[in-house]
Amino acid sequence: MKPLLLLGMLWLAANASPASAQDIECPDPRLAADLPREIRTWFRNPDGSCVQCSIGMCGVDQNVPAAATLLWDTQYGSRERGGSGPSRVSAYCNRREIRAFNITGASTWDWMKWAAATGRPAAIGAGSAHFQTLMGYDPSSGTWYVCNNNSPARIDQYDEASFRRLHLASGQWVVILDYPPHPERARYARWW
Amino acid sequence: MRAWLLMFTMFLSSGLLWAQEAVPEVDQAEVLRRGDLVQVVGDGIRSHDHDAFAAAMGPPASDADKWFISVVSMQGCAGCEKLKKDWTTSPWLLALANPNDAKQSWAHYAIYDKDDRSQAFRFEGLKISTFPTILVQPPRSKRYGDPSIVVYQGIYKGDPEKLAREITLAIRQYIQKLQTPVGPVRAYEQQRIGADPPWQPVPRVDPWNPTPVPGPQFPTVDPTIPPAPPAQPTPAPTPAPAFPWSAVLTLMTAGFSLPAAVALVVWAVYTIRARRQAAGLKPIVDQATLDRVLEQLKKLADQPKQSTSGT
Repeated sequence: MKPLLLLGMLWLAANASPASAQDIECPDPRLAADLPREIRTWFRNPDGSCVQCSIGMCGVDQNVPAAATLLWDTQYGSRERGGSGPSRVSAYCNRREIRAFNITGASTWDWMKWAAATGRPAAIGAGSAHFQTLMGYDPSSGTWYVCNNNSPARIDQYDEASFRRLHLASGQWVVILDYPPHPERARYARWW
Repeated sequence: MRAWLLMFTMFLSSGLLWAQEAVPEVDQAEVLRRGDLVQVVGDGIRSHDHDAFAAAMGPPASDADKWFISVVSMQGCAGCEKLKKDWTTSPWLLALANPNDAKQSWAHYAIYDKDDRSQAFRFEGLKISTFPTILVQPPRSKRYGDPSIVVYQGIYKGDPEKLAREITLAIRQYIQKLQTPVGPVRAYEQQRIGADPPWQPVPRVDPWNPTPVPGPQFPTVDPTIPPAPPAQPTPAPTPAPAFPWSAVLTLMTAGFSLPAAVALVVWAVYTIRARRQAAGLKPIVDQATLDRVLEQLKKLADQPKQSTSGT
């Protein structure tokens, strides 16, 4: 009994916490998304709306107001609160004319890597029955960067194995907005 | 034993908590039911065509090599509205970015509202006070250097062709600079120029005001990156000298006088030079030579008359 209990607790610990506690903050070349901490905290999960929180962050990053305002009553539509499945996401995206890829199954891994490589965030299944925002992926170190809408002030880091468990724990489902990525924060440099 | 009981209770309670959360947050059963599926939603005719587009498919090709064109606009700005409209119809602008078809678009195109707090941080490092302002930045892939660099900044004056030509010219010049060995890309990262923009600043207040006359009005100040090359300095025209009447009178009354003759020669030289400059012609002799000749003439005129009587 004791070893089983111990194993269970170890498994829980491995799935519940990020692999690394090093701080990383936007903007950072390792991150695909560029969302300042202040803006991420707007999307703290208020009432079990983790899917909309995650898509909302993507909406800000890609400058898609109809997606960014999912949680609230605005001219883009009534607030979408509470739990979601792929059908509900599909329905409100159609209603708000939000172009998105609604992906389930084994190809989510390729899509997440595509999103990160092209400078896009992704709303992803991460943790048991939970959605979070994929902020980036560094293939050279095998590190995944994820922002949890229950703790939006920080960006968690996972190695490949931890991230695999994290994603599988929720089921392989990813939502990626079908819009251009954000430009880098612009600055002047005397190039001429 | 008590400790183990406590831990077991905590384990059970956390499991129950998870079970409670699992119900509303994500419909995992539907995820499993769907299986391998990529659904494209929210895009007009594709929206409800589930059967046709719900087939499994891989991610699109990478678009990390696309340039970025950002329009910073504001509410109630006629010029901004005209630019948005022109960008959907003008072949010159569509060749650079297609707002209606992001996949076919040569560049990533996005419109930002200056009052949108969720996007303001992207342009905090820039000076933008006239709208619409168009910004061009290199691709994310870093194939053309640091993607944060502003390759072009300009405003729209209602001429799509002119804007498109300005953008393409700036990109061409930027790429040429990148390819020169003297200026590697890394060097640009170290050449921040602080808060001062490298072009003529725009006015603090947008000069556009609504008028009863239909049609947009555009600001008159045109800040651009790269800045226009400075105009070649034109030499100041030589003022035409006044006619030396005193010299003429001297010659007429007192006979030949060297200073009077020199004065007439100098007048003639200056008059001819001024007329040639006014006509845009090159002077016969350059300024340095002229100064030397005039100096000699002055010395000649100043020489005292030599005595011719013997002793």
